[in-house]
Amino acid sequence: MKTRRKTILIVEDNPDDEALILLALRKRDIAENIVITHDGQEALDYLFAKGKYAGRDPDDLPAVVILDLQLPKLDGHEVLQRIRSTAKTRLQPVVILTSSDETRDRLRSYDLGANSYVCKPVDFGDFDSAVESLGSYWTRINKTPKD
Amino acid sequence: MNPLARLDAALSSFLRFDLSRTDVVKWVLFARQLLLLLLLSVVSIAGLSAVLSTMQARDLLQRSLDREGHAIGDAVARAAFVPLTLDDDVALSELVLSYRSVEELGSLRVLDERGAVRAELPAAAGSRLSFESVPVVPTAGAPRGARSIGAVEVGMKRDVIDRRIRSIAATNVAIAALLSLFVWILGVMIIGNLIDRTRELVGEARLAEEVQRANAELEAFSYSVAHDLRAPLRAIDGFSQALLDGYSDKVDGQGRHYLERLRQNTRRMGQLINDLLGLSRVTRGELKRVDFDLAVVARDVASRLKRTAPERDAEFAIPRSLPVNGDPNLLLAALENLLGNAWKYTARKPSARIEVGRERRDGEDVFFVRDNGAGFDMAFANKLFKPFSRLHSPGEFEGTGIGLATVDRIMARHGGRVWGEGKVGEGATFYFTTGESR
Repeated sequence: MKTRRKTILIVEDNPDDEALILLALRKRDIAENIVITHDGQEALDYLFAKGKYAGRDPDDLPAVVILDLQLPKLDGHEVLQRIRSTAKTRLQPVVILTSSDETRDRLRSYDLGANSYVCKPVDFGDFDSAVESLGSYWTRINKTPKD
Repeated sequence: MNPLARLDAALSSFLRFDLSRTDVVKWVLFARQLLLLLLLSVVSIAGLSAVLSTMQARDLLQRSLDREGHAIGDAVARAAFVPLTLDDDVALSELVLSYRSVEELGSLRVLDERGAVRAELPAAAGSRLSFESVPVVPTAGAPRGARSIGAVEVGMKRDVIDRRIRSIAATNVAIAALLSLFVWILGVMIIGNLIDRTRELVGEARLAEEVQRANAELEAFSYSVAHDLRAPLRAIDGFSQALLDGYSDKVDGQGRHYLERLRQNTRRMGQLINDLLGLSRVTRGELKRVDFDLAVVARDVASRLKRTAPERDAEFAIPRSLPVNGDPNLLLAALENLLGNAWKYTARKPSARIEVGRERRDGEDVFFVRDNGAGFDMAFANKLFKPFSRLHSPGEFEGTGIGLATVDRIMARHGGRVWGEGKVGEGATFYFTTGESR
């Protein structure tokens, strides 16, 4: 496979969080190709190259999906379930990035096969470094199944 | 334990077995019907046995009366023959009259071979009699085949039997009635108990359902507090930081100061949200009691606290072992708060000493966390455990005022309690019990 620009798929409905994530990723030039989707259905459309992403190459999967839990239409857990139950995206790295610190959410996420679970810190300094670590780890250090 | 209480306990455990199913009520109603049926059959068996035993008694009495009559007739017949008193009217009369005192005897007549009355005990008026005739035959010394030379006619009083039967029947009926009454009262008590318990249990189930619903609502509420209140805070904090980072040339020192204060406040509010969530978390969920060592937990919390400020001269005195029975997660949260407080309020002491242990106070074993920190004025001791109430200003010591309220709720959930003693400038001791059933 040719080296291509690594993609990070972000699933985030809150425009403020979206802006803050982008701020953190762009500041340190981690951003290679950032795709933002705003609900669960749109995220699945991107991954499966359907709907408004119909023209996309469905084999071109992101290095990581950064997935919020509380989302309109399909929530994060449902999206994760669909990713894991589809052969093509079964091994797709998925990181949960959420405000929820509930044990129940955490356990369910891991149960459904999340690769990591990160709580959005309120303090921007902490948030900034968390997003930055996530971005650099999953695009630079981690090897995806297809690398 | 009396049988009723035992039945009640058994019933409760049976009902509790699957209380979530609404058909429990149906089962109880069925059981009630069954019991009622059982009760009725016991009562009818008691009645039937009274009737049967009365009938049997009548039969027995009749036979014994017949036997008695026959015996009297036989005795008179022998007496009449042996000395041949049959010819002596006076002796015969005396013989007959000597039976006057036999209560059941209604009449007694001695007849000769031609059927003429030789002696007679006249029939009592108004009595129904049953007659028995016994022939007078020669016995000892008489030639073989001697024929009857007369007869004794005995009349036994029927009403004596009737009276006796009535009294037996009355006794039987009384016993049956008493037995039935006893069974009835017992049954009614059991059924009443059954109904009461059912009502209670159904009420409890309903209450539990309500509590569960309220808990679910609370959970949904805390969830949305966690998510929906944190998100805007993060935005405020993030964009303030973005201003500080990217626009420092356009914002002057005063402006940066304001932005910093803005960030400080978002952090404080974040802490408040976390503490409130912690408080609501200790209220819901099931309390899981196990035996474990509180000293291990305390040492763990202490070493974590030490790592936050390794330069501090602080000593933790924790015994080798502190066996406790309670919910490990909740008691960990309680110790985190109590030790966290001790750590916080000893920060200004040149040398801090924080002690965890157990001692006997007023006849009960209590755990304690003692420090030599800032202490507090006992006059305000009642405010310590109220949410958001603080005895120190944020300038003195940081805090949200939720920590001790959380500890209070944790101990209350255990059926125990927490209280504090302190002196300004000298330190504070917090005592707690975990409602152990020892």
